[in-house]
Amino acid sequence: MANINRLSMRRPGGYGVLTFEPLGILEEHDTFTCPHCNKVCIVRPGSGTHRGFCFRCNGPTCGGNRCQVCVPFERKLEAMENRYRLHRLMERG
Amino acid sequence: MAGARYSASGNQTLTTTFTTALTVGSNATTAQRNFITSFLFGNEGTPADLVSVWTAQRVTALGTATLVTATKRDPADRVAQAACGENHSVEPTYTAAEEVHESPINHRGTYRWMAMPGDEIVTPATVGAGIGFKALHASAVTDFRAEAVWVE
Repeated sequence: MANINRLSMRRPGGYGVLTFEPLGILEEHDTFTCPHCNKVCIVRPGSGTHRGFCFRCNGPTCGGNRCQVCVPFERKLEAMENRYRLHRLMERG
Repeated sequence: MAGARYSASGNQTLTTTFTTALTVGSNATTAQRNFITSFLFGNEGTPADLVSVWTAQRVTALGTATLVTATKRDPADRVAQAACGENHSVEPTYTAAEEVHESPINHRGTYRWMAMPGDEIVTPATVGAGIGFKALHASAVTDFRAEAVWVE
């Protein structure tokens, strides 16, 4: 994981690598995926970005207003798929 | 995660409005969940020292695009079920406020993201639902490219 002492989180959900060839710059960072909206968030210590933590999902959230209330993303996926199935049934008559 | 792994890449020309380089989503007949495990953004040709914001966002319709044949990571797997498109002439229908990732990237740089198992970007099993990768710039007209790896 990216710079284990300073930049990483304990249990990252992903890893990002930014390369800038002309200057040979390589930036690495950990990411986590919001358990409520599935957004990939970059971990930048000291950035001042407000994140949240869900004690039911036991993980950090993106901090967005819609993610303050715990609705796991899996439940949202199921709702989308159920709506789709209902539409298909109604189309068939 | 069990499942077959595929990859696809697509390109598009930068304009002053968002244009889409690649979409990965469920095809028109058989819907399945796609788990995006990795993606890569970059520019082609001779890019200048400029910065674009890259966005990966959910779509509910894949728009009109040049068909991209997904590459099987394991030759023994079946052909990918997901529909992939590049160089869109009609933009996909993006879901408002459903950006799953945004990165400002210098045109001379590349960005790759990889998910840990269980933290992939998941798309619902509904026809046309997927992820689109798009970018814009106020003046540059170079080509940009996105690549995605997913499990289905």
